[in-house]
Amino acid sequence: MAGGATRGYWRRRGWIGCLAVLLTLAGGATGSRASGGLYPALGAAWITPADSGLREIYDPGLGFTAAVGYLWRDRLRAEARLDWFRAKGLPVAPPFVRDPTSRLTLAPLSLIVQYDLGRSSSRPFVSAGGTVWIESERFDYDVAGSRGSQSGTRSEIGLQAGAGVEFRRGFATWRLGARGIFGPRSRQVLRPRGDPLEIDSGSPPSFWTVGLELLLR
Amino acid sequence: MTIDRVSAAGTRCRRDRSARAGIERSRSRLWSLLGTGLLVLLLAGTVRAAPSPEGRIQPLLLRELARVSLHRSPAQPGPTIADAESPNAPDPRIPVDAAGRWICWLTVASDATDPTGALAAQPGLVVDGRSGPTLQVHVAPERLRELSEVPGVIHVGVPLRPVPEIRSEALDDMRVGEFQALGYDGEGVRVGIIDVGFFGYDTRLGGELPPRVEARSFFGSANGSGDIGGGGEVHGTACAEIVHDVAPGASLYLANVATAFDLGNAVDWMVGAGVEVISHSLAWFVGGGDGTGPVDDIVTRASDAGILWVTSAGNFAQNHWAGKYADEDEDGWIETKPGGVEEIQIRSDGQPIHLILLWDRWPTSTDLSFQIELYDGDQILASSEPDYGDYPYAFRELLYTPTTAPVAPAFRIRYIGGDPTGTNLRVFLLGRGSLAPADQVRAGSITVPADSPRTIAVGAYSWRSRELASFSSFGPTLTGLQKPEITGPSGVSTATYGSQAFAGTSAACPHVAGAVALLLSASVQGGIYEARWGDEEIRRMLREAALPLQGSPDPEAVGWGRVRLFLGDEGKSPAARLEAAGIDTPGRLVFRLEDAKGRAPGPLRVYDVQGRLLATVFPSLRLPGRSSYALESGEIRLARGRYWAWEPITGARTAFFWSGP
Repeated sequence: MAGGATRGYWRRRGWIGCLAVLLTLAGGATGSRASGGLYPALGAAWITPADSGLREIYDPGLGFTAAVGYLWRDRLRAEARLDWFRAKGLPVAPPFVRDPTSRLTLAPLSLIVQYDLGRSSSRPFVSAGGTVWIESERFDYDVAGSRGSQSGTRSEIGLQAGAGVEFRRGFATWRLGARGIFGPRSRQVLRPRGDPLEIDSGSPPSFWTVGLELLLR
Repeated sequence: MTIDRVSAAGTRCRRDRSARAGIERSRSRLWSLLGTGLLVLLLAGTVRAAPSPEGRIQPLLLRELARVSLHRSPAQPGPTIADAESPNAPDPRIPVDAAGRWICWLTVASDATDPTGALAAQPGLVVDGRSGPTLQVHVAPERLRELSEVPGVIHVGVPLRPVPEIRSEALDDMRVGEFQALGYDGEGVRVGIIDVGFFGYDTRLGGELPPRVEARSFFGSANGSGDIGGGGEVHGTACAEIVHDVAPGASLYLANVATAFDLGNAVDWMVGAGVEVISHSLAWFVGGGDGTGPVDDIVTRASDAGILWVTSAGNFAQNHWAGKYADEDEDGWIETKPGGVEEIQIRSDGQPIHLILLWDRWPTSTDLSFQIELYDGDQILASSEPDYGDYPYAFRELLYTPTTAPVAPAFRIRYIGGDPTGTNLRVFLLGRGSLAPADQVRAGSITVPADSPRTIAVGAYSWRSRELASFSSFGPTLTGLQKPEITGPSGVSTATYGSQAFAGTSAACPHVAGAVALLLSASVQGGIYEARWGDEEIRRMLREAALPLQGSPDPEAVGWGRVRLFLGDEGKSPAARLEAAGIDTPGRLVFRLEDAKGRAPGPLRVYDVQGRLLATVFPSLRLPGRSSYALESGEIRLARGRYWAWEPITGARTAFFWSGP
């Protein structure tokens, strides 16, 4: 089966590419200014589906984070973040479908502002920003004696907000934080031919994440 | 230790006092709350006891009153109702008399003085009768408010009306009930129905049709604002009824058309509306018969947009002649049969004779031309020439209305000009009558767009005898494509046509379209997507589930067989039987499986109506050919509702209703 992708996904590829370039440039910049300005961050997070539609099908799991930040004031910084999460699940299927499986890949690309609530070495922070949800789901199944598969990818603008604490241990700065990532749309009908159809059922996808990141500053 | 005990006892006393005080406070709050609640209820009761005049009128009537007032033109003092498309027409649930008055039910208070006198004084009011506190009245809409203010009247509402329970007789044979018991009734699927007319569809809303449908008329109107009734044609309404019988949860989109251009506009509207299945019970005579032509192009466009196009195969198996151009004697008349025979005999009992001649030259045929002529013995009755002349398309039509019944009507095809080498010619006889059996060419009688590989073409069988209908068209197409794909039931009941009066591939097609809608609604649901079945998967499921027809029909004409819903147990032995046998003493739900083949059964799987697996139960008793299972309902916390169980080795399944231990 051919996969489907929304028009929005292709429309936004351009500026997603721009953010990717920014990430690369930041990586180079940290070599010369490791103590301030631009900095990269890497981490891992435990990602939990929050809405019932996703929770029924996918279990929580480990995801990864890469970010590039820019500290332009004492307490204020901007970050471009890319999270990545993949989970396998058992989709809801009619009884005549054998061995249905699904795989969800989620890569929210976010631009957030973080505000530090203190100046000590262990300081709490809050953050919020916009997110381009890039999400893909693939289904595999047996029906009427033949193996079939379908997949779809879509991207939309969403929101995220988080809070946590940043602390320095040894040579490194660490960040322990929780975030909520909120998608804009509910479920769509994926068709082998034709554009996906919007349907009303279900709530917009959302995730909670709890993660630890290493900031190379 | 003692001091400790005293101290502990003292503490306990303080705690008790404190607890008592807390209880007193709680009681006091509780009484306050109860008092306030009673006061609110009393006030609410007072309010309910004296509703405003508006409150005595059913909201539906008020809403329609406001709507028709808005549309009322100064020239029209009151709403006219006869035209259902008029903005003055009220909701179809409100019956209207010939004078445009609304028929309502009036409820009067039992302790009120008899309002008959006050009602008689109402101008223009007609009282049909009274039953207990209810009167049926005819009232002009603008006097509705006045009527509700008559002393003793407590409510004005819409009358309750009977809904005719007319369903296609073929649903059980198609396993529609079994499929719907799985929790799939077409909900979320949009089905488009294209026809020439949907006259009276609005009177079926909420009964034989869903309460709401989307309807557009492209009948001579590019923007969809034409006559949805198609000049009084009810054919589309009957088709919509059948789709609703099979897939009651599906949303219906109705569009009527008159020409291929209208069809294009209707399909564009449906693509934009997200329609996933089209039920098309029409035959077109535009195109080469090889999957090409303007209508087939529209089908391709719809298919590219993800629409599954289900179409009737046609009713022309006995009314079709086809052959290659041959004129051995070079007399200008085409030889239609071996031996130099040029005439095709028609059996007609004085009815109008309607013939259509096609040849495979599309889109235009300016360099090749034929004409069709109708004879009675040596006397020419009619010719297509006067009406068509140099018509640039490979199409000629002849319509003859006899004044006296012809003795031996027959048609001939005349070659006019151009290079006819290898040309395929076809003639369809429309209306009543048929071609003489020896002159019928049944193969290839498929119509457009059933000749398109993108359609699921549907032939017809009798739901009662399960035999192929003799009129059901079939292929192959000129490109050798075998058609139809499947057959559907014919001769079924609809409210539109009456008892067992809807026959033909027109009736068969919406059965299959409804089945496709049911299959589509049983999609695989993930976190962000619902994956619908594609064209290939739907075809495979229909093919797997179809059953052979009775009798000995032409295998070319039946396709995969007669339509049936795919349940995944095809090919399994029907000898196995599973039933919910009851509840045993510990409160377990017991299932009994009987298998004539004596196979060792596997675990029983229990699902909810959403198709979610709730439990896997292993046999508690296993004897040759007989097993039982005991489901601990407490363990899986079965809520009251419908479930079903399935044993995969035998394929046996049963639905059951759990009402509690």
